[in-house]
Amino acid sequence: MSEVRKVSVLAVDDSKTMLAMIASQLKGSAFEIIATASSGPEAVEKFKQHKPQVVLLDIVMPEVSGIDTLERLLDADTDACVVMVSSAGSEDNVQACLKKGAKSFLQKPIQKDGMLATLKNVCQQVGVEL
Amino acid sequence: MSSRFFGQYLLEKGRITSQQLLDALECQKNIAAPIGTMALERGLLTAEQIKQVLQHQRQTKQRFGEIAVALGYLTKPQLDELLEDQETTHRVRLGEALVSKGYMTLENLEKQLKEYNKESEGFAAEVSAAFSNVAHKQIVRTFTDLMLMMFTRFGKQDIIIERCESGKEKVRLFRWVISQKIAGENVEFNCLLSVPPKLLLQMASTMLDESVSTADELTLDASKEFVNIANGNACAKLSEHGVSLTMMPPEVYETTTTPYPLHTKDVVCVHLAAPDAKLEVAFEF
Repeated sequence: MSEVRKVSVLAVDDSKTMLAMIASQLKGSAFEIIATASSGPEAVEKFKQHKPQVVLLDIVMPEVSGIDTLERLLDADTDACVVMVSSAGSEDNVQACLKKGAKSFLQKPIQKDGMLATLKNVCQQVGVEL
Repeated sequence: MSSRFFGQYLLEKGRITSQQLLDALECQKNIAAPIGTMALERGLLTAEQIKQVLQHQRQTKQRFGEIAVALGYLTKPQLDELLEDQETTHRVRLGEALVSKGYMTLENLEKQLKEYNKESEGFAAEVSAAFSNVAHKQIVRTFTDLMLMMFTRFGKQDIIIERCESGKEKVRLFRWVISQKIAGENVEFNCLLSVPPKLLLQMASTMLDESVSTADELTLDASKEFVNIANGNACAKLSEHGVSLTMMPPEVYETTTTPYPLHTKDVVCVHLAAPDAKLEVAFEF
Protein backbone atom coordinates (compact mmCIF):
# COMPACT_ATOMS: atom_id res chain seq x y z
CA MET A 1 0.00 0.00 0.00
CA SER A 2 1.49 3.38 -0.96
CA GLU A 3 1.78 6.05 1.72
CA VAL A 4 -0.51 9.09 1.36
CA ARG A 5 1.59 12.06 0.38
CA LYS A 6 1.17 15.04 2.68
CA VAL A 7 1.09 18.69 1.64
CA SER A 8 4.45 20.26 2.45
CA VAL A 9 4.46 23.38 4.62
CA LEU A 10 7.13 25.96 5.45
CA ALA A 11 6.27 27.67 8.77
CA VAL A 12 7.78 31.11 9.36
CA ASP A 13 7.62 32.88 12.73
CA ASP A 14 10.19 34.63 14.92
CA SER A 15 8.58 32.94 17.91
CA LYS A 16 9.68 29.38 18.62
CA THR A 17 6.50 29.00 20.62
CA MET A 18 4.35 29.69 17.59
CA LEU A 19 6.38 27.30 15.45
CA ALA A 20 5.91 24.59 18.09
CA MET A 21 2.20 25.38 18.34
CA ILE A 22 1.72 25.16 14.57
CA ALA A 23 3.66 21.89 14.41
CA SER A 24 1.58 20.42 17.20
CA GLN A 25 -1.69 21.46 15.55
CA LEU A 26 -0.70 20.00 12.17
CA LYS A 27 0.33 16.69 13.69
CA GLY A 28 -1.69 13.82 12.24
CA SER A 29 -3.24 16.04 9.54
CA ALA A 30 -2.78 16.06 5.77
CA PHE A 31 -0.10 18.74 6.17
CA GLU A 32 3.52 18.30 7.09
CA ILE A 33 6.04 20.93 8.15
CA ILE A 34 9.13 20.26 6.06
CA ALA A 35 11.06 23.34 7.24
CA THR A 36 10.79 26.30 9.58
CA ALA A 37 12.31 29.78 9.50
CA SER A 38 12.51 32.48 12.14
CA SER A 39 13.07 35.51 9.89
CA GLY A 40 12.15 36.84 6.47
CA PRO A 41 15.53 36.23 4.80
CA GLU A 42 15.70 32.71 6.22
CA ALA A 43 12.17 32.07 4.92
CA VAL A 44 13.17 33.04 1.37
CA GLU A 45 16.25 30.82 1.57
CA LYS A 46 14.27 27.82 2.90
CA PHE A 47 11.53 28.42 0.35
CA LYS A 48 13.99 28.20 -2.54
CA GLN A 49 15.67 25.19 -1.00
CA HIS A 50 12.61 23.11 -0.07
CA LYS A 51 9.95 24.37 -2.52
CA PRO A 52 7.04 23.88 -0.06
CA GLN A 53 3.48 23.73 -1.38
CA VAL A 54 2.22 26.14 1.29
CA VAL A 55 3.94 28.81 3.41
CA LEU A 56 2.55 29.95 6.76
CA LEU A 57 4.07 33.41 7.23
CA ASP A 58 3.99 35.58 10.35
CA ILE A 59 3.66 39.34 9.80
CA VAL A 60 5.21 40.99 12.86
CA MET A 61 8.87 39.98 12.70
CA PRO A 62 12.02 41.99 13.43
CA GLU A 63 13.97 43.58 10.55
CA VAL A 64 12.09 42.21 7.54
CA SER A 65 8.33 42.10 8.08
CA GLY A 66 6.10 39.29 6.85
CA ILE A 67 4.57 41.57 4.22
CA ASP A 68 8.01 42.37 2.73
CA THR A 69 8.86 38.68 2.91
CA LEU A 70 5.65 37.85 1.04
CA GLU A 71 6.83 40.07 -1.83
CA ARG A 72 10.21 38.35 -1.90
CA LEU A 73 8.60 34.91 -1.94
CA LEU A 74 6.37 35.93 -4.82
CA ASP A 75 9.41 37.35 -6.63
CA ALA A 76 11.02 33.94 -6.27
CA ASP A 77 7.89 32.12 -7.44
CA THR A 78 4.78 33.97 -8.61
CA ASP A 79 2.69 30.90 -7.78
CA ALA A 80 3.86 30.69 -4.17
CA CYS A 81 0.91 29.73 -1.97
CA VAL A 82 1.28 31.91 1.12
CA VAL A 83 -1.06 32.13 4.11
CA MET A 84 -0.33 35.12 6.36
CA VAL A 85 -0.49 34.63 10.12
CA SER A 86 -0.85 37.48 12.58
CA SER A 87 -2.57 38.54 15.74
CA ALA A 88 -3.26 41.90 14.09
CA GLY A 89 -6.07 40.80 11.81
CA SER A 90 -7.37 44.28 11.05
CA GLU A 91 -9.27 44.99 7.89
CA ASP A 92 -6.37 47.02 6.45
CA ASN A 93 -3.85 44.32 7.25
CA VAL A 94 -5.88 41.47 5.75
CA GLN A 95 -6.70 43.51 2.66
CA ALA A 96 -3.06 44.54 2.15
CA CYS A 97 -1.90 40.93 2.37
CA LEU A 98 -4.53 39.57 -0.01
CA LYS A 99 -3.84 42.39 -2.47
CA LYS A 100 -0.14 41.61 -2.42
CA GLY A 101 -0.88 38.02 -3.35
CA ALA A 102 -1.37 36.08 -0.11
CA LYS A 103 -3.91 33.32 -0.55
CA SER A 104 -5.46 33.68 2.88
CA PHE A 105 -5.04 35.05 6.41
CA LEU A 106 -5.07 33.34 9.78
CA GLN A 107 -5.48 35.24 13.01
CA LYS A 108 -3.62 34.31 16.18
CA PRO A 109 -4.31 32.62 18.49
CA ILE A 110 -4.53 29.96 15.82
CA GLN A 111 -7.24 27.42 16.35
CA LYS A 112 -6.61 23.99 14.91
CA ASP A 113 -9.93 23.75 13.07
CA GLY A 114 -9.54 27.20 11.56
CA MET A 115 -6.00 26.51 10.40
CA LEU A 116 -6.87 23.16 8.81
CA ALA A 117 -9.94 24.64 7.10
CA THR A 118 -7.88 27.55 5.78
CA LEU A 119 -5.11 25.28 4.51
CA LYS A 120 -7.68 23.05 2.80
CA ASN A 121 -9.32 26.07 1.18
CA VAL A 122 -6.06 27.45 -0.20
CA CYS A 123 -5.06 24.03 -1.49
CA GLN A 124 -8.35 23.86 -3.37
CA GLN A 125 -7.78 27.40 -4.71
CA VAL A 126 -4.37 26.58 -6.13
CA GLY A 127 -5.13 23.02 -7.20
CA VAL A 128 -2.97 21.19 -4.66
CA GLU A 129 -4.38 17.71 -4.18
CA LEU A 130 -5.11 16.58 -0.63
CA MET B 1 -10.73 33.97 21.99
CA SER B 2 -10.36 36.34 19.14
CA SER B 3 -11.51 39.68 17.90
CA ARG B 4 -11.08 39.28 14.21
CA PHE B 5 -13.07 41.55 11.94
CA PHE B 6 -16.17 40.09 10.30
CA GLY B 7 -14.51 39.44 6.93
CA GLN B 8 -11.65 37.52 8.52
CA TYR B 9 -14.18 35.55 10.58
CA LEU B 10 -16.04 34.50 7.41
CA LEU B 11 -12.78 33.68 5.63
CA GLU B 12 -11.54 31.51 8.46
CA LYS B 13 -14.87 29.69 8.71
CA GLY B 14 -14.67 28.98 4.96
CA ARG B 15 -17.94 30.89 4.32
CA ILE B 16 -16.29 33.02 1.63
CA THR B 17 -13.06 32.82 -0.40
CA SER B 18 -10.20 35.30 -0.18
CA GLN B 19 -11.10 36.63 -3.64
CA GLN B 20 -14.70 37.20 -2.56
CA LEU B 21 -13.48 39.02 0.54
CA LEU B 22 -11.15 41.18 -1.53
CA ASP B 23 -14.00 42.02 -3.95
CA ALA B 24 -16.35 42.83 -1.07
CA LEU B 25 -13.77 45.02 0.69
CA GLU B 26 -13.32 47.02 -2.51
CA CYS B 27 -17.08 47.18 -3.10
CA GLN B 28 -17.95 48.29 0.45
CA LYS B 29 -16.10 51.58 0.00
CA ASN B 30 -18.89 52.70 -2.33
CA ILE B 31 -21.74 51.46 -0.18
CA ALA B 32 -23.53 53.48 2.48
CA ALA B 33 -24.50 51.20 5.32
CA PRO B 34 -28.15 50.32 4.70
CA ILE B 35 -30.50 50.70 7.62
CA GLY B 36 -31.95 47.23 6.97
CA THR B 37 -28.65 45.40 7.24
CA MET B 38 -27.65 47.46 10.29
CA ALA B 39 -30.93 46.48 11.95
CA LEU B 40 -30.31 42.87 10.94
CA GLU B 41 -26.90 42.94 12.59
CA ARG B 42 -28.36 44.23 15.84
CA GLY B 43 -31.16 41.69 15.80
CA LEU B 44 -33.83 44.39 15.38
CA LEU B 45 -35.08 43.04 12.05
CA THR B 46 -35.09 39.57 10.51
CA ALA B 47 -34.20 38.82 6.90
CA GLU B 48 -37.89 38.15 6.24
CA GLN B 49 -38.95 41.54 7.65
CA ILE B 50 -36.34 43.28 5.49
CA LYS B 51 -37.72 41.61 2.40
CA GLN B 52 -41.23 42.79 3.32
CA VAL B 53 -40.03 46.37 3.85
CA LEU B 54 -38.18 46.29 0.52
CA GLN B 55 -41.36 45.03 -1.17
CA HIS B 56 -43.33 47.98 0.29
CA GLN B 57 -40.52 50.31 -0.72
CA ARG B 58 -40.79 49.28 -4.36
CA GLN B 59 -44.49 50.16 -4.30
CA THR B 60 -44.45 53.33 -2.21
CA LYS B 61 -40.96 54.80 -2.86
CA GLN B 62 -40.82 55.78 0.84
CA ARG B 63 -37.60 55.51 2.83
CA PHE B 64 -36.72 52.08 4.27
CA GLY B 65 -36.69 53.31 7.89
CA GLU B 66 -40.04 55.07 7.60
CA ILE B 67 -41.70 51.92 6.27
CA ALA B 68 -40.11 49.73 8.95
CA VAL B 69 -41.50 52.08 11.62
CA ALA B 70 -44.93 52.22 9.93
CA LEU B 71 -45.08 48.42 9.83
CA GLY B 72 -44.16 48.30 13.51
CA TYR B 73 -40.89 46.47 12.94
CA LEU B 74 -38.78 49.31 14.33
CA THR B 75 -39.55 52.03 16.87
CA LYS B 76 -38.70 55.65 16.06
CA PRO B 77 -35.90 55.81 18.69
CA GLN B 78 -34.42 52.61 17.23
CA LEU B 79 -34.47 54.16 13.75
CA ASP B 80 -32.89 57.39 15.02
CA GLU B 81 -30.06 55.45 16.64
CA LEU B 82 -29.48 53.44 13.46
CA LEU B 83 -29.31 56.64 11.42
CA GLU B 84 -26.79 58.12 13.85
CA ASP B 85 -24.54 55.09 13.59
CA GLN B 86 -24.84 54.77 9.84
CA GLU B 87 -21.42 56.28 9.13
CA THR B 88 -19.37 54.01 11.34
CA THR B 89 -20.42 50.49 10.62
CA HIS B 90 -17.73 48.70 8.60
CA ARG B 91 -19.14 45.28 9.39
CA VAL B 92 -22.54 46.07 7.95
CA ARG B 93 -21.09 47.56 4.77
CA LEU B 94 -19.04 44.40 4.27
CA GLY B 95 -22.12 42.22 4.80
CA GLU B 96 -24.08 44.34 2.36
CA ALA B 97 -21.26 44.09 -0.20
CA LEU B 98 -21.22 40.29 0.12
CA VAL B 99 -24.99 40.12 -0.40
CA SER B 100 -24.98 42.55 -3.33
CA LYS B 101 -22.17 40.59 -5.01
CA GLY B 102 -24.22 37.41 -4.62
CA TYR B 103 -21.59 35.74 -2.40
CA MET B 104 -24.06 35.32 0.44
CA THR B 105 -27.85 35.34 0.90
CA LEU B 106 -29.51 37.74 3.32
CA GLU B 107 -30.62 34.76 5.41
CA ASN B 108 -27.09 33.42 5.60
CA LEU B 109 -25.76 36.88 6.49
CA GLU B 110 -28.28 37.03 9.35
CA LYS B 111 -27.04 33.67 10.63
CA GLN B 112 -23.35 34.57 10.26
CA LEU B 113 -23.76 37.94 11.99
CA LYS B 114 -25.55 36.29 14.91
CA GLU B 115 -22.78 33.72 15.32
CA TYR B 116 -20.09 36.38 14.95
CA ASN B 117 -21.66 38.72 17.47
CA LYS B 118 -22.17 35.93 19.97
CA GLU B 119 -18.47 35.12 19.72
CA SER B 120 -17.29 38.71 19.94
CA GLU B 121 -19.49 40.04 22.71
CA GLY B 122 -19.44 39.28 26.37
CA PHE B 123 -16.11 40.68 27.40
CA ALA B 124 -16.77 44.34 26.76
CA ALA B 125 -19.20 44.35 29.66
CA GLU B 126 -16.51 43.22 32.07
CA VAL B 127 -14.36 46.29 31.57
CA SER B 128 -16.15 48.79 33.73
CA ALA B 129 -16.28 52.51 34.40
CA ALA B 130 -12.70 52.32 35.72
CA PHE B 131 -11.54 54.03 32.55
CA SER B 132 -13.82 57.04 32.59
CA ASN B 133 -11.16 59.65 33.36
CA VAL B 134 -8.02 58.42 31.65
CA ALA B 135 -6.36 59.78 28.52
CA HIS B 136 -6.62 57.69 25.35
CA LYS B 137 -9.54 55.90 26.96
CA GLN B 138 -10.47 53.85 23.90
CA ILE B 139 -6.93 52.49 23.47
CA VAL B 140 -6.40 51.80 27.17
CA ARG B 141 -9.73 50.09 27.49
CA THR B 142 -9.39 47.96 24.37
CA PHE B 143 -5.83 46.79 25.08
CA THR B 144 -6.71 45.99 28.69
CA ASP B 145 -9.88 44.23 27.58
CA LEU B 146 -8.01 41.99 25.16
CA MET B 147 -5.23 41.27 27.68
CA LEU B 148 -7.90 40.21 30.17
CA MET B 149 -9.53 38.09 27.51
CA MET B 150 -6.20 36.42 26.80
CA PHE B 151 -5.74 35.55 30.48
CA THR B 152 -9.29 34.51 31.21
CA ARG B 153 -10.44 32.73 28.06
CA PHE B 154 -7.18 31.43 26.68
CA GLY B 155 -5.28 31.02 29.95
CA LYS B 156 -8.35 30.02 32.01
CA GLN B 157 -7.37 32.38 34.83
CA ASP B 158 -9.62 34.75 36.74
CA ILE B 159 -8.26 38.26 36.46
CA ILE B 160 -10.09 41.35 37.65
CA ILE B 161 -9.48 45.07 37.20
CA GLU B 162 -8.72 46.72 40.53
CA ARG B 163 -8.27 50.32 39.40
CA CYS B 164 -6.89 52.53 36.69
CA GLU B 165 -4.60 55.48 37.43
CA SER B 166 -2.54 58.08 35.57
CA GLY B 167 1.08 59.03 36.32
CA LYS B 168 4.32 57.11 36.14
CA GLU B 169 4.65 57.03 39.94
CA LYS B 170 1.59 54.78 39.97
CA VAL B 171 3.39 52.04 38.05
CA ARG B 172 4.81 49.37 40.35
CA LEU B 173 6.63 47.19 37.80
CA PHE B 174 6.91 43.57 38.82
CA ARG B 175 9.91 41.39 38.05
CA TRP B 176 9.05 40.74 34.41
CA VAL B 177 7.99 43.40 31.93
CA ILE B 178 6.98 42.66 28.37
CA SER B 179 6.89 45.81 26.33
CA GLN B 180 5.57 46.32 22.82
CA LYS B 181 5.79 49.51 20.79
CA ILE B 182 2.59 50.37 18.95
CA ALA B 183 2.09 53.26 16.56
CA GLY B 184 -0.67 54.82 14.52
CA GLU B 185 -1.24 57.99 12.55
CA ASN B 186 -1.75 60.25 15.57
CA VAL B 187 -0.54 58.16 18.45
CA GLU B 188 2.51 56.22 19.53
CA PHE B 189 2.88 54.29 22.77
CA ASN B 190 4.45 51.37 24.57
CA CYS B 191 2.09 48.81 26.02
CA LEU B 192 3.64 47.07 29.03
CA LEU B 193 2.51 43.94 30.76
CA SER B 194 4.24 43.63 34.11
CA VAL B 195 3.95 40.35 36.00
CA PRO B 196 5.58 38.44 38.88
CA PRO B 197 7.51 35.23 38.05
CA LYS B 198 4.58 32.96 38.85
CA LEU B 199 2.33 34.59 36.27
CA LEU B 200 5.09 34.65 33.67
CA LEU B 201 5.37 30.88 34.00
CA GLN B 202 1.60 30.52 33.79
CA MET B 203 1.47 32.60 30.61
CA ALA B 204 4.20 30.48 29.03
CA SER B 205 2.49 27.27 30.13
CA THR B 206 -0.71 28.44 28.44
CA MET B 207 1.12 29.10 25.19
CA LEU B 208 3.22 25.95 25.22
CA ASP B 209 0.39 23.76 26.46
CA GLU B 210 2.64 22.22 29.07
CA SER B 211 3.76 23.18 32.56
CA VAL B 212 6.96 25.23 32.64
CA SER B 213 8.93 25.96 35.79
CA THR B 214 11.90 28.10 34.74
CA ALA B 215 12.16 31.44 32.98
CA ASP B 216 14.36 30.12 30.19
CA GLU B 217 14.58 31.33 26.60
CA LEU B 218 11.51 29.38 25.46
CA THR B 219 9.44 30.64 28.42
CA LEU B 220 10.31 34.24 27.57
CA ASP B 221 9.56 33.63 23.89
CA ALA B 222 6.17 32.16 24.79
CA SER B 223 5.37 35.08 27.11
CA LYS B 224 6.23 37.59 24.39
CA GLU B 225 3.93 35.75 22.00
CA PHE B 226 1.17 35.81 24.64
CA VAL B 227 1.42 39.61 24.76
CA ASN B 228 1.78 39.88 20.99
CA ILE B 229 -1.46 37.97 20.45
CA ALA B 230 -3.40 40.05 22.98
CA ASN B 231 -2.11 43.33 21.54
CA GLY B 232 -2.64 42.24 17.94
CA ASN B 233 -6.23 41.39 18.70
CA ALA B 234 -6.63 44.81 20.33
CA CYS B 235 -5.29 46.47 17.17
CA ALA B 236 -7.76 44.45 15.11
CA LYS B 237 -10.61 45.51 17.41
CA LEU B 238 -9.66 49.18 17.19
CA SER B 239 -9.42 49.00 13.41
CA GLU B 240 -13.19 48.41 13.40
CA HIS B 241 -13.47 51.92 14.83
CA GLY B 242 -11.17 53.46 12.25
CA VAL B 243 -8.04 53.41 14.46
CA SER B 244 -5.19 51.93 12.42
CA LEU B 245 -2.21 50.73 14.48
CA THR B 246 0.93 48.75 13.72
CA MET B 247 3.06 46.83 16.19
CA MET B 248 6.76 46.18 16.62
CA PRO B 249 7.91 42.82 18.01
CA PRO B 250 7.66 42.71 21.85
CA GLU B 251 10.69 42.93 24.14
CA VAL B 252 11.13 41.42 27.57
CA TYR B 253 12.88 42.92 30.61
CA GLU B 254 13.82 41.29 33.88
CA THR B 255 13.60 44.37 36.07
CA THR B 256 15.90 43.03 38.79
CA THR B 257 18.79 43.03 36.30
CA THR B 258 17.59 45.42 33.58
CA PRO B 259 15.39 48.16 35.04
CA TYR B 260 12.66 49.20 32.68
CA PRO B 261 13.12 52.90 31.86
CA LEU B 262 9.73 54.57 32.24
CA HIS B 263 10.48 57.83 30.53
CA THR B 264 7.31 59.42 29.23
CA LYS B 265 5.10 61.85 31.09
CA ASP B 266 1.74 60.40 30.15
CA VAL B 267 1.54 56.98 31.72
CA VAL B 268 -1.71 55.16 32.40
CA CYS B 269 -1.56 52.12 34.64
CA VAL B 270 -4.27 49.52 35.00
CA HIS B 271 -3.84 47.44 38.16
CA LEU B 272 -5.11 43.90 37.80
CA ALA B 273 -5.42 41.01 40.21
CA ALA B 274 -5.34 37.25 39.76
CA PRO B 275 -6.56 35.12 42.72
CA ASP B 276 -3.02 34.87 44.14
CA ALA B 277 -0.98 37.53 42.35
CA LYS B 278 -1.05 41.12 41.18
CA LEU B 279 -0.13 42.31 37.72
CA GLU B 280 -0.45 45.49 35.69
CA VAL B 281 -0.91 46.73 32.18
CA ALA B 282 0.64 50.17 31.62
CA PHE B 283 0.66 52.50 28.67
CA GLU B 284 3.45 55.01 27.98
CA PHE B 285 2.08 57.62 25.60
